[in-house]
Amino acid sequence: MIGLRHIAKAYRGDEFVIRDFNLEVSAGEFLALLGPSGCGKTTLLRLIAGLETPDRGEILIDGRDVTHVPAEQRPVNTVFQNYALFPHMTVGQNIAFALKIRKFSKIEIQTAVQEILNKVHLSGYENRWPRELSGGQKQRVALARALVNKPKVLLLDEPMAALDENLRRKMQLELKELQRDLGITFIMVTHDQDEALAMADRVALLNAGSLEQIGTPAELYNHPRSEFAARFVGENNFFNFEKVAGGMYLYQFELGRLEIPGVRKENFRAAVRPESIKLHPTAETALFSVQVQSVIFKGATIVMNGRAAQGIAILAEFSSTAWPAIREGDTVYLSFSAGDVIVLED
Amino acid sequence: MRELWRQPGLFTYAIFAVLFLYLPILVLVVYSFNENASQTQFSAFSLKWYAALLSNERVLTAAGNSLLVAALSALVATVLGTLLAVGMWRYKFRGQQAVRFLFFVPVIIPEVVMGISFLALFNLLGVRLSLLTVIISHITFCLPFAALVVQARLEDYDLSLEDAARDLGASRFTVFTRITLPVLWPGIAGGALLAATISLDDVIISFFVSGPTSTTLPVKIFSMVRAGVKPDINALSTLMLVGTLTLAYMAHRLRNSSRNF
Amino acid sequence: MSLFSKINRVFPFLVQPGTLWLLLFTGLPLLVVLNLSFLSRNSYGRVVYEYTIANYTRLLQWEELLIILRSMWLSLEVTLLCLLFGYPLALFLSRAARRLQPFLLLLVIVPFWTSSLVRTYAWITILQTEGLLNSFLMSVGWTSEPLTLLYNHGAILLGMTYNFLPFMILPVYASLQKLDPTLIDAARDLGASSLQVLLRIILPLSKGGIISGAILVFIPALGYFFIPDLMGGNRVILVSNHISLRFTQARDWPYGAALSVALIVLTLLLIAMFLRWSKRSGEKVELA
Repeated sequence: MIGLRHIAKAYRGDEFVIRDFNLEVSAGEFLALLGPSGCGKTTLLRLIAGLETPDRGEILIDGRDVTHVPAEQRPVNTVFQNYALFPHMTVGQNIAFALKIRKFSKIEIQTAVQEILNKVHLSGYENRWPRELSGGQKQRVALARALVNKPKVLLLDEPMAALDENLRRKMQLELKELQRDLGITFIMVTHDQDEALAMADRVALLNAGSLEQIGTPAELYNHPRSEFAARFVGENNFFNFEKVAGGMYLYQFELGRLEIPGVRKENFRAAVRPESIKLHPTAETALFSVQVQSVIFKGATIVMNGRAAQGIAILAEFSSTAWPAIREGDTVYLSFSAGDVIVLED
Repeated sequence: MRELWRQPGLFTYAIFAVLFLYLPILVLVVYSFNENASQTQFSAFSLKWYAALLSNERVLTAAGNSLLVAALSALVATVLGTLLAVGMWRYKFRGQQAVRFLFFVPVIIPEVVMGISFLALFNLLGVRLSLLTVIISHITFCLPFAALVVQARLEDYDLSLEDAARDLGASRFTVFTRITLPVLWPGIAGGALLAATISLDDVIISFFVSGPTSTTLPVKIFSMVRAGVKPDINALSTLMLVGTLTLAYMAHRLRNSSRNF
Repeated sequence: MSLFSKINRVFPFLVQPGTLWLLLFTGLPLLVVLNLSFLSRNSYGRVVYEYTIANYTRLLQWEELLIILRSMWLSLEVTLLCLLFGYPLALFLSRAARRLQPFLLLLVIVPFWTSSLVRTYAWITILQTEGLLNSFLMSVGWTSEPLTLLYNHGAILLGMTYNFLPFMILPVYASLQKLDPTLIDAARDLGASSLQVLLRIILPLSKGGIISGAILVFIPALGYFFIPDLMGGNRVILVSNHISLRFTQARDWPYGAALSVALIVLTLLLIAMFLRWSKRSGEKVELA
């Protein structure tokens, strides 16, 4: 559906925002472009929209090279971060804008506008002005204005950024449903990992203009490939493992020794999820001990911050029913198993 | 205890201050309808001073000149000022600071100096003082004001509107005519009206650059006042007042309406 | 990365016509004046191309310096009067009910939308010997002879203050309006009286507005020749009408040009001084 081949884009000479970027998006897919601010995700979106031209590489939509096709001629529409509703046009006029440019008949335009307003639950709003709408309504209008053109791809630039927390959750669900319903390819830019994991079929994680990792939310969460990915998606504990001479799969790390079958590396860095860490009643069965520094009750779970030997910080999450109260200053005995060690690439 | 600024004293002061602001203007208007020539004894309502104006060829010519100058200089100043404001806002370029300084020169320089510098330039170039010299000077001092009004409008202008329009299929030209111009329009029209008001009010610069045949209304009034107080000046001033107040009020409305977006 | 990239350009096309116009009709005329100020004139008042600094040495004579000093003194007086009469009004406006403020502000501004010449003329009709004020004073018996209210220093001050008042009121009002009202509550809470709040909180925090207002009044006041001309009856010679007369009746353009150059330099120095003062106090000064 969409192909990005060796895309590079620089501002002011040699400051590369995007470097040698490759990405394939299939039809009907919901892809999230996730990354910290300044990683180039918005630029990438603008390149696909045609609002910027790449310095190198090519962009394909539906097998057609559109690298030098201007924005107005691409079968792609965008929902902008601040929605960019035209302030001098009513809701109806905003939505009809593109259809008027393409010289649709009045009746066609009217039916299309009604239909799409229905779909975004805003029937009867066509004569309102953008300034009279709430944040959520503005977002729906922006969506309707883009979708009324039946684009092959819908681009969304931080669509939830201007909404408050409750509305955000609701709109995430609604947007996801709408995408399934319409079967249009969605590409959404976000810096919010929860949002990306909750909504997308696949998540592309960007780091400094390059693709760090791409995969389903589960793949990204369970098998982050790099420390960057492990740090960005969810929280983790990090350790350095080194092979013990003579032992087959025996590795030494900061807090003890662990047998990790199947690993072929001499030494490596690894991540361990907080929820993989288990609590033990005594020191004998545990791997290491930790001095508790803070405990936060989160309902189903409790989150513990502690300090192990050599001052290493440990973050662990336990089921709140699993064990009697842990208090600040307690010493607790912890372990994790070889299967929970996520081996990271160098 | 009442705060100092809620004391009745401050309120009373404010009322007197506003009266003081309006008093001279009211007096002027009232006596323009006076049947006799006195500025103290109001005998009867009459329009005779207005009628006298209508038969005063020189005043009529000056009024015509003023309107022509205001319309033309507002038009040119607004076009140049709008382009300048949009260009300065949209791009960063070398020499921008210098242009910004140049832009403020007509605002900072005392008007007398502006006036004589135009006179000196036209004299050096051998250009005779005419309506053209008046218009050129007026364009120059109106330009920054027109640009400033547009600039204020640009502060709320969101460039992503243009991206959105292109994304929805509009060509660059359509974007300009359907998005950029309509959204900036209140600012542009407000700037033009402000420019016209300033042009209509100007005495000092016109005093130096208008020739015998290109006298503007304020310059004419100036010479009439120098000769002495006469009720027909009251009538003329009242007409000017109505004209500039209307223009200024329209400009004010436009500037405020732009905030509705 | 900014969402919409601003492009680095050599010189954008949009800016070219306006810049060219300003260069031709403000830059060039000022250069012509500068050049003119070094030229001489012959006995018929014609400018002759003989370069001299005589115009500037003449400027340094005591009676000429006195004119400049007198003008600056007058501008200073006008500025202070505008502050004295404008500040309370701005304070009142800024503390009035929010929804009334636009209307009240309009009420104060409207008189100033009219031509300053018309307003000056209005005062002349009131103050003249056969004017309204004299007839009022005589009718209540405060005076038996009409007073000479026009053609003196006081009349000029009145005319100028009336003319420039909004240039002080508006910036002061703008800065007072931005003042956080909880600061006043905090000061009261800490034991300050109303007067102390005014002197120690409100006044210092509106300094930016006062400085803007001072620039907007002081500088144009230096160059307004028709108010001293009409209300001072040509008896008080100020830089503004001095320059004007060099170019009209006296036909001494080179000296008028030298006076103009001096006035520009003075203006720029004053603006620089005001801006430095405001920078030191960390206040934002807006001139637009």
